[in-house]
Amino acid sequence: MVRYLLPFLVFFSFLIEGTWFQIFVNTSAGGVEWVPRITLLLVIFTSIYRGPGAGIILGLFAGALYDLTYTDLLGLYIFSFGLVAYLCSYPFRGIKSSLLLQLSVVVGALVIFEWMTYGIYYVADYTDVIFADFFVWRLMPSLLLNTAAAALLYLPLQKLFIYIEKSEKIWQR
Amino acid sequence: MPQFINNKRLIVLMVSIIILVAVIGFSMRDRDNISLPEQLFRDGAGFAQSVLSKPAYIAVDFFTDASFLLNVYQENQTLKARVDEAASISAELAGVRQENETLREMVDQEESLTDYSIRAAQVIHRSPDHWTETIGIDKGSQNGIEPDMAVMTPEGLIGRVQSTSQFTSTVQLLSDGDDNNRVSAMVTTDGDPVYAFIEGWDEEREGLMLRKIESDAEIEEGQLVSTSGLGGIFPRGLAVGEVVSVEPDEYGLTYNALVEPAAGFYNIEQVTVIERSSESLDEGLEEEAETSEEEEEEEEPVDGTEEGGG
Repeated sequence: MVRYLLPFLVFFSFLIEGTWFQIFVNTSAGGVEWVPRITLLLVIFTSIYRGPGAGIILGLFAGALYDLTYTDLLGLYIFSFGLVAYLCSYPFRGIKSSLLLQLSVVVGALVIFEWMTYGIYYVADYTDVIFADFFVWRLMPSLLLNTAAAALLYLPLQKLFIYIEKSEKIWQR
Repeated sequence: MPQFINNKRLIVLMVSIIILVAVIGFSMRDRDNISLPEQLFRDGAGFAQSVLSKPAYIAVDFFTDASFLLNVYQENQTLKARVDEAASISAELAGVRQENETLREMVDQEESLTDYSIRAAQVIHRSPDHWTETIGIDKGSQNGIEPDMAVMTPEGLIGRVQSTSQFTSTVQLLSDGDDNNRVSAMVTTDGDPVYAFIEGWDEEREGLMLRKIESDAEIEEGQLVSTSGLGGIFPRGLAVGEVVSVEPDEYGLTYNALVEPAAGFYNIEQVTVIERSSESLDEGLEEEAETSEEEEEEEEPVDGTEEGGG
């Protein structure tokens, strides 16, 4: 059962991002685009705590959800999620004990992710937003919102990963 | 620390980039509708989304109702003042409608571009990255929804159906930056209506761009913009918005106008999907044109129907 816990959480947060967030929040108040990335946060933390294999698989799953439901550009999110999951799984081992280091990994991953999706949309001619506007109105708000969300999610997620590890050990016995 | 990138990983990365480009190329073709696996997937996700959205809407409605209660008295006063106005307008409307019917009977035209039937639907998701402005609704091709139908809120037009699956469909909002996102519109002036196209969204000034207005047209601020029904799919006369400013376009041949949309594009809850009843643009006229062509010389009949939204 524990194996399906993370994919289920990813699916749930995917639903929150697409369905609940736009109902409760005016996502574009005053020109600022608030983009929730809870799914990405889950993928990043999975990569940090459970290594590249689990992270990339979860990332591909989350990307597929996004691509098939929201975009007409198939492959965009699968690739971005997969790559970010891969990059996040490679910082050194001590990272698991430090909140600050993990948050800086999250910030780096968010920058790479947003920049990459912007780049692909720009190249595919889906948007004419210039880089300066993207930086001010999209990247910065997204970083603020999602880093705050990461700080909030940090403790529950850490407990969750410890729980998963424990129950896997029990399973192996 | 393991080596960050070795040969094997480099090859995997390269291959996945190639696959990415290929798949994006595949999905950027002009597709009539999405493929079957995508449809199945969207229906599955759509089911979960519609289940999840219902309690959220109930909660939101509860709080907005509560906030409405606070200014009920003031609202009541203004509404009372407008009731008399409404009564006289509806009397006038009934008279005009009757006159319209008799006139239409006189010219033997039963259908008109303004006739349409509606289907109500609930919004179940919105693309969270705002690169594409699309929303999902909980009615699909099983409910009779087809690509390119017009989608409205009570305030006005918001977009068109982009793709349908069996039980859900995706609506492209007017604010989407896609090049094919175009609606044939008209501006109501004192004289004849002026025809132009709603094309794209001005990010800075937050308004729709009405392009290709003929330079001799007299457009002023505050004039109303609605769909013209000439594109073949939308009915005529759906409210789009109001002209805010007019300026010459970059070539100086035509004018562009900034249009403030009548409908809000955020926090949409209910939409209506609109199907035009009259099949095509004046069939009588087309037939006449064909017969006259045949009489003059034996030319191949030109296929005059254009594709594309609106």
